[in-house]
Amino acid sequence: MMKKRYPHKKKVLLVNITRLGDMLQATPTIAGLKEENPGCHITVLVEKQFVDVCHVIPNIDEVIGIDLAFVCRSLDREGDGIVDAYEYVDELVRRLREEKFDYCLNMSSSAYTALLLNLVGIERNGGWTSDEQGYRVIESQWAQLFATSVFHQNRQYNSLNLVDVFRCSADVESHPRKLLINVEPESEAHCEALLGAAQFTNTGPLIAVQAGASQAKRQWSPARFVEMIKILVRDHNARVVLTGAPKEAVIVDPIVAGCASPNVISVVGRTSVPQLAAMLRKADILITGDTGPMHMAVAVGTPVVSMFLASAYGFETGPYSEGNLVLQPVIGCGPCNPNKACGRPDCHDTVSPQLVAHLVAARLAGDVREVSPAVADPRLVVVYRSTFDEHGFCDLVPLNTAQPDAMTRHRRAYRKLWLEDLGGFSIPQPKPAAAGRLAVVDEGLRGLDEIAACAKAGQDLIGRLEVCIRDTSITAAELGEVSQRLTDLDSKIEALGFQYGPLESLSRMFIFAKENLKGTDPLSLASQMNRAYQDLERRCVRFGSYYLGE
Amino acid sequence: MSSLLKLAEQMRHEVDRELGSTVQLPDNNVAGHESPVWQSGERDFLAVSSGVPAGDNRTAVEIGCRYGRMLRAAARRFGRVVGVDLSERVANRARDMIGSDARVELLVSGDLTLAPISDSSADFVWSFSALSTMPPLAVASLLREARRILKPTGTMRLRMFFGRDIALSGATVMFPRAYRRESFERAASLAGFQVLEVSGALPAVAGALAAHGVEAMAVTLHPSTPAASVEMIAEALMPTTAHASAGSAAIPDMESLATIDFAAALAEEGERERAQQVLHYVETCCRVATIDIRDILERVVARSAPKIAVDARGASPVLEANMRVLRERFPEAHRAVAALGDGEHSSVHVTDTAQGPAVWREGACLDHAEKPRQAAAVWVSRALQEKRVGDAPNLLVAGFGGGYHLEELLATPGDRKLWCYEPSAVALRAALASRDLVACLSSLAGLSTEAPDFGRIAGSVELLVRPQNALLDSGVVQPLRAQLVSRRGLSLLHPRIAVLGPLQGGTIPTGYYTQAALQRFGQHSRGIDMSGFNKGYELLDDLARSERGRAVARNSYVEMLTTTMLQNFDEKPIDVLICMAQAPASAKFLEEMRRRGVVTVLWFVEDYLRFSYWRDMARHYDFVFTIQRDGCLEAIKAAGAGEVHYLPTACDPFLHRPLELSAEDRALWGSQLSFVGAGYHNRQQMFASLAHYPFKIWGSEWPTCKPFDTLVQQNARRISPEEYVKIFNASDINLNLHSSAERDGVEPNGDFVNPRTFELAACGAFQLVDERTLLGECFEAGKEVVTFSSLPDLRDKIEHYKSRPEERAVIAAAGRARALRDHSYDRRIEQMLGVIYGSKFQHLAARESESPWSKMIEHSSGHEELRARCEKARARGEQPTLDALVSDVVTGDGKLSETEQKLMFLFHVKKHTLRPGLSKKEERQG
Repeated sequence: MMKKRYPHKKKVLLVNITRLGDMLQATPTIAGLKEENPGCHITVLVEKQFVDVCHVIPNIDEVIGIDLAFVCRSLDREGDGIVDAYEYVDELVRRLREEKFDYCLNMSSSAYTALLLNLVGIERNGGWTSDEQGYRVIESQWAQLFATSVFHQNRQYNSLNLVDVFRCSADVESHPRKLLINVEPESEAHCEALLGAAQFTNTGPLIAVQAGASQAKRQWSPARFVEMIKILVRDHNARVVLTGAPKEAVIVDPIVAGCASPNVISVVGRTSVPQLAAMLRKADILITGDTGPMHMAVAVGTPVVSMFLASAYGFETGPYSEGNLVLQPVIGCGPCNPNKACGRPDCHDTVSPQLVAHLVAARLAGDVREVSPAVADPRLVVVYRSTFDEHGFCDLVPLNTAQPDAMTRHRRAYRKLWLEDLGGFSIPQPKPAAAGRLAVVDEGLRGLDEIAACAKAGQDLIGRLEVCIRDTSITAAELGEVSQRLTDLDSKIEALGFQYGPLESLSRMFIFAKENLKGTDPLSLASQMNRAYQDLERRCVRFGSYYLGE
Repeated sequence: MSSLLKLAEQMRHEVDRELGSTVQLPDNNVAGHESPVWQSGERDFLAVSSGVPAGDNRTAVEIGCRYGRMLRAAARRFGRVVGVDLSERVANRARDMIGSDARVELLVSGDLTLAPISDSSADFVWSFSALSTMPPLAVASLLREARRILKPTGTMRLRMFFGRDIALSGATVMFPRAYRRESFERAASLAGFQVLEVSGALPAVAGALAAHGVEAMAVTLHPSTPAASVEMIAEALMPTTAHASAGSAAIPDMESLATIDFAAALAEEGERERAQQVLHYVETCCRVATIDIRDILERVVARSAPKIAVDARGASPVLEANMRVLRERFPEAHRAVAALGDGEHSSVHVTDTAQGPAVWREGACLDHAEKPRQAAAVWVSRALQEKRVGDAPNLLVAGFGGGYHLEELLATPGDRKLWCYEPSAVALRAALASRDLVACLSSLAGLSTEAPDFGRIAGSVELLVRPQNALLDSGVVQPLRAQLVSRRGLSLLHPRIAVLGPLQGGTIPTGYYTQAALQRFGQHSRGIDMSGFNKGYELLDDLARSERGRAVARNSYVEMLTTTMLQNFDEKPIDVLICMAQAPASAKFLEEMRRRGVVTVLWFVEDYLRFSYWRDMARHYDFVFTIQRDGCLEAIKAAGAGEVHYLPTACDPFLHRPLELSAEDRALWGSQLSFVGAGYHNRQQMFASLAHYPFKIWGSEWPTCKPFDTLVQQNARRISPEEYVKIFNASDINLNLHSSAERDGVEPNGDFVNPRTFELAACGAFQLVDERTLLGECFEAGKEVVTFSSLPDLRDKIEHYKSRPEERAVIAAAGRARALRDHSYDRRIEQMLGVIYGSKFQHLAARESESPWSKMIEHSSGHEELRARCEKARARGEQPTLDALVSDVVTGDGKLSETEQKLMFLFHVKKHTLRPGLSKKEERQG
């Protein structure tokens, strides 16, 4: 059984303002909430333009739209426009308060949703909110892990899919092991009409291709798409349909033109979101990057072959269902920082059109359990198969290599640590001999002893602090000295995290814990701080032993 | 909606609003005579239609007939009379007034056309007051329409105002406009008319317009050519100098003026009673109480024979009882009344009426001559209808009269305090002698015969002036009104002010002091320091060799600066621009500012005889403040400046103050004799003969020859303000000789006082200053400063004072006290703003009410904290942006209120959406 903070929820507000992909990634959580909290009412707060889309998401009872476009337009007007925007917020807060939610879950880490939730004043929460001073508050340790894992320098050490981390921050254990979306018959009819109008000469598999990506650097070049599609059309009797939003026509049109085949059509801009879901369901497979349509294909049960280029990272946001293929380039700079543009996306070269075509053909033939290193050179790209572990957490298994890469041990160790420490799952313990090797300096664990020592010193200092708080004869100077030493110690822990990159997740979790102490009573605060140091020390020890056990 | 329709909509709105606020429409009959409305309408129609053939088969059309004042008269002469106006509501009122008359048709035309009237159908089209109060676009449209409906043989006659362009800005669209005659004639010809005659045959209007250099003219037009487009006609009408200045409050509505004119004419003809009636009608029926009807009343009154009923001088039991209360409550007023001598009563008498005694002064009845009580009640109810008056916590009434209106006000519910100012102790005594006013006196919050000091009244005050007193006591009431408006201006107005400094020269610090004083007054001002650009300005001389090339380069440079400033004002708009002398403000720049409705001000702190650029520039300023009087004020006014006022420079007590100097500083900066300033001709000539004294000269442009080689300090470098304060403080005797480039010694008729005089005094430094004609009103010679008139005189005084430090100290201390009291920049800015706000209050208030902050504040009335935040941010001088609203919300520094959290929410939404296109993970990591 998983550890849960708030086992019983009656009226849940899920804040998921901006993205369709996010909404889809929340579907296992929503389904789980319904299942584990019978009769639970679920409201989602989304940006107005997604309200309609939410109607094809199962298990949602109510959708509230927030008109950010109106707010922005009003703010742009300045002057009394600001008052209009203010009144909009005022009304929104009033409306949300009226609903009397007993639990909220904020998926977005934006400051404004955090402020909004504090304004609405929902006592129990599993995600981002803020305190009355405007500070960010992340109470749930799973949500803290979420924040820790997406810190850029920590990303590569994380192997937990964000869908699961998010699910756990909402205390959801049982879930459908896939994303969910309803496909409406009208949408299917629309897609049939689109396909019916096509002049396919091939009769083989229907392959969907989502060529567009959210960022230029994540955009595999149209020439490569053309080459890959040509192989599929020529060698596999494939019918290819290119999907996308209207603005993606600039990417897709040249591909269609380049293929110059009746078996390659574009439905870009001709499908609404529900219709796209239907189209993906019709398809036998989807070739894509890390995109919204990828999650949608997963939700309709269509397998995907997905390329995680540039900043995209398969462990983090990979396809959340069994048996999909994920290509992750092996390159020193990847996954790169999403906030930086890239002038020379060398990672694209690691994925060849032939390889993708090969994997597509293999996946069409059935589940893929192995890929020959001769086809996919593991020094350039690792091909993973998505699956679920025994605790129901999504995972990626490498298919073209037996050798774990440099990060793998850290990823595995962290995975075990968090499942055990935060989830309360029972994790097979490493052999004692391995545990005893903690004393041996391992390159991957450098700095761990120092952090653990700091955690220990912290507990001693807290002991002294508690004495100082209780003993009224202690001077302010002494109290101040202890407090100063604690501050210095915390700075040191943070600095050690930066110094020893693989360990940063440990120190970052500690920092989040300290940022989110509750209340003002000194003794209670001291006791919470003590727990943070204890957690850190314990996690250091456990992490070391799991790492060595790998 | 087209701009014309929009304009029409706006005009209709104003006409309707006016209908709502013009409280009384005239009865059709007053005291047995036809109402003055019809009488004046008859007279004016005769004037406007003179020489135009009438007849039963002819059609006459009035553009802008309003309540139909002239339609009855027209219907007596034309078979068909059509009155056209903008508003259905107004037309309905006109129907009510005129009653049924088969010859009169009333048409409503909401789109500034005469659409319901067919082409070539009218014999005569006229407009008496309407066209002259409409915006040029509307005039253009209607001229074009008039051309369309006129028969080829028809005539159009308009009353227009000609003079200089006066296009008054303000909250209203409808107000009198004057055009340059040639502009109008050009417009008329574009509209397809031939201008037959422009004559002054129409009655002039009560002098009110003449004061603005404008006269009413009758324009006779015949159709000739096809009309040009509305835009072209309007273009011709556009003022060449936009926003030429005139106080908008000074010109009341034309209907009232016309009626007053009529009264004047009656009085001239000896019809005194009718003239009185007409004037009473104006008093009671016109909303605008500030109409200047002095002339007419004087003319009317001169012919009225007073009826004396009560001896205003006699003692009576009533008087004794009233005086007892007066002594108890208002001892100052009591002293003034009690001190009256016998001879002082002749100007006042009291008549008896059915409703009680009425007090007369200087031939004018201070109450209603027949129904004082009833008239007072009407006056009070009308006055209180105006919201600002009704809501005011304090009302100051100018004029005691018989006290009826005060009793009425006291009886009206509300917690307002009532103050009364009666300028005439004699009239007050007459009232006290004739009526029992004990209750009234006991309830007043204040009563004085001296001009009241608003500072003594806590809270906001509204001034109500009795119309009679407005005439009789205009000399004291006008300053009182100005004082109130400027006081209200300082507390109520928050115009955005920019102080534009010069590129170089001695005026730079004056700009700084001005800006600092504005800030101390809590005004939203910002200083624009241009001195940094001087280097570039000077460098141009190196690059451009020829004189012409230099001039072109300098002009381009200034043009570049002003273009940049305009962009700056686009981003951070202002309402008032104060240019210091020599500020780089071109005519084009100033006109652009005025086009934007910005009030332009020049503080010309230079000798107008030496610097003459004001000749070209004065007309681009709404206000020019000078350091000279008389000839200077007249000359600059004549050069076209809106208003010209005397405002000498001053001291900044925060900089110009006594200093404790170290012995080292004293040795460096001090001397028995010191002078700070540039080496002008007269200074060189005079100071050369003082070389035998321990004498230090500081400043630039001095010769290097003897004796100056030893007198002039530090290579004649420029001395900063901070440094010269040290010199003033460290020296025994500071010489202050006003500069002259031409004459030797003391300028015999030098007038203005230089800044150094005030600065020295404020430092508590002893100065010997040359005699100036304007010095006497600033400082008392011999007590606060010591003056000299010539070189021998200066020598004598140096000899006298050099060995008398105590005498010097006494005079310096007195000088400092005077400077601090009367001559600080704070005082000057208060005066300057008093003038500007007094005369531009409506304009600035209207701008403010249209400003985004005002809209925000009004809009946020349901959210107290938000509203308070807006007000605070506005007071900080911030722009109306979200950033301004949250700039003082510091997260993590205490609990955020709900309002703050909501604003922060918006702030983050805005910030968030500024980074579009980032993926989910990107956001999370941002």
